[in-house]
Amino acid sequence: MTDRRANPPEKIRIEGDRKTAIETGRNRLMVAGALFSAAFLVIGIRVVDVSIFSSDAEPRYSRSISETEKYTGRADIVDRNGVLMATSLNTASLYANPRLVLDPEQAAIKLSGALPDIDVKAIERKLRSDRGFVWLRRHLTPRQQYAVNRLGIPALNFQREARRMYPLGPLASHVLGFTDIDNKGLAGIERYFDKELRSRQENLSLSVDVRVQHVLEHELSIAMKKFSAIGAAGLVMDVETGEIVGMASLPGFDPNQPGAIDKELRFNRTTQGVYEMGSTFKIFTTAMAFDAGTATMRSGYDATDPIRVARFTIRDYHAKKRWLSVPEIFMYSSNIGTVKMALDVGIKGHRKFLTQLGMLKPVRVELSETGSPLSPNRWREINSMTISFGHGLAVSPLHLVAGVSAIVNGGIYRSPTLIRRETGETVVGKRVISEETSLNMRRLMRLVVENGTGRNASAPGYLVGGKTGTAEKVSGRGYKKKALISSFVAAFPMHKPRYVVLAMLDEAKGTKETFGYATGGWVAAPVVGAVVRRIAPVLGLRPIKDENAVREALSVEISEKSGRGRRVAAH
Amino acid sequence: MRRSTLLWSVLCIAVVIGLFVVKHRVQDLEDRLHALNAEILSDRDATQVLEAEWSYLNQPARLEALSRKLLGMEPPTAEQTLTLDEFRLQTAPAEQEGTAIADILPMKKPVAKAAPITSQKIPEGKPDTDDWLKPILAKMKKEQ
Repeated sequence: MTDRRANPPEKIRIEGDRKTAIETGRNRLMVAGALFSAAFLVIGIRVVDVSIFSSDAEPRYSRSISETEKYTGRADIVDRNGVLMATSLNTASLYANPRLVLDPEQAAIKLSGALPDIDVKAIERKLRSDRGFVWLRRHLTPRQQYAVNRLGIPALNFQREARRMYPLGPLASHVLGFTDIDNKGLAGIERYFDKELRSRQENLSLSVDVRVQHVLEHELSIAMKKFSAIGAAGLVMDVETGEIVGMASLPGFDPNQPGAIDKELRFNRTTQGVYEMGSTFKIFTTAMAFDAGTATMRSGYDATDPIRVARFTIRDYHAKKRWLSVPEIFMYSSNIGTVKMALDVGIKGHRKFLTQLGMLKPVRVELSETGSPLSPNRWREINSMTISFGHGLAVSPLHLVAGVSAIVNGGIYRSPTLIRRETGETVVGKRVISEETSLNMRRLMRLVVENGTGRNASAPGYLVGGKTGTAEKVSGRGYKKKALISSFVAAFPMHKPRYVVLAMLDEAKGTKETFGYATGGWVAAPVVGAVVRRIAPVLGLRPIKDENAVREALSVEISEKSGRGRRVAAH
Repeated sequence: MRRSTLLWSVLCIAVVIGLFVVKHRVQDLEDRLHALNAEILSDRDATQVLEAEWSYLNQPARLEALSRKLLGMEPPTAEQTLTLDEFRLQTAPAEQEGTAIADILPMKKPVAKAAPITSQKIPEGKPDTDDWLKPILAKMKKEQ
């Protein structure tokens, strides 16, 4: 043992070539080692980074679907009570990869067995094409999908796609509009809110009530058939909020089949169509005269002789040929008296008043299909005269309803809307007439239904008041005698109006029951009466039991020229 | 030296097994999550379809036709609407004439009167309890 300690280990000394060789080897080893440890260090850091720090950046294999996340792309549309009007359903669409099809002819024949209504030739041609992808059929029903799957053709495949569905069918079709096969809004609300519907998650609530909408469409279609009209339009509007509760334009269409929709069917008569409305405009003329102070409930005008201006003669349809008080002018719908009333206010005042009521601009509503009113370029005396009884100015039915709402609701104009307002939300508007004028107009409109041209619109318990309108349609430069626009615009209940209702028939023809008349009082007024009777309970309005007291309060004293009064419209 | 080697190797094996078990459980949970997600999606699709169907079956036109045909219903008139106060007012005179309040309250079971046979429609053939359902089913079949 001591020997070993005594002899220290021998040092090997290597010199020369061998030394340099070993040095080189060591250096190389060092470089390689450093490289490896650097690599391992990087990997180590990355492991720590991935596993501890960056859990957000790298999503996990699966993640839970959050509560609000919705699968389908387009938001639903519901009515004011939450009834589903438009929704997106996931369906399977069939596509093929033609390059993988072994026997196109056989495949096409097989497919026609599963989908009976396809064109075999066209499918075969598609399957023969030299492409990687062809649509064979979009939106299959689950049953069809099963049938196609059973065929076991390898090149066929399904793609999940959302399809727009309208479960209520043609109901409110002009309000909703429709979408194309790629779910792009092409008309109505679908088009106006296309972007919003794509991006939002929650439902879009319309102001429309489907029950009211149904009653409106139903009653209008009955009248349309009865009087062989070519079209009809109807509106129900809440006078306090401006919400449109019902909007019907007939004939309608089925938005579920966008391919089958004619351009003519898409035409929305309530907003797109502009018509000379006829005598319903007398509501505005009379209200204007009251508000300007040029006429009162007791004053009157001589309506004995027709008025001759230039080459026109203005006559009365229900001519009385005597002095008429203002309520009588309104009740008998005297053109002569109304013209005189308008002239007393003056051209400027007339124009300003109609501008305030929004009659000279396109109506602002959430639809892209809105028509511009046709108004005279230069407003002369003759224009003012004809416009006073509703000719020479063409507006859409929605213009009329919005205007009448302002007249009856106490005098405040609110622009109409198709979107539901929150309960309790106050809607700002601008005052167009005084409250007193509004009350007087309500009494006059009630008078028309009690004793005048609108008797057919009465609905016991609901105190309907309104005004008839009949206008000849414009064709080219003249008027068509036989083609009439017959309308009736009403509000109810008249002591405190809640809703304005309009019914309009396009080219209605008289029947035996109406003694050949196709005027507003005969064809449109009964529709309004029937609609009010059916929708009032739905809208939560109670019928007035002791109607006579309210009727008495709304009655109008008709003065005679001698100054002695005669009370009418009590019963 | 030996002892520490043993300790380390045991620890190492334990960690490996632990990791293996945890990973498996995570895998299981992820599979379950995946399955649940798929289920939620298909349930959501189904809800959507059912909602659309509900709306479709509740089309006002269809409801009107059915209630007219099967229940003989008509739109209510003003006379048919009453508030509770009005109802009390109408029944008040009856009360004064000595009728006990219990008689007019709806709680009491109405006594069935024998209706004249001529006014009753007696279904021909075998009495089928599901008779009333037939028109509905026929219409639904037609629509499908």
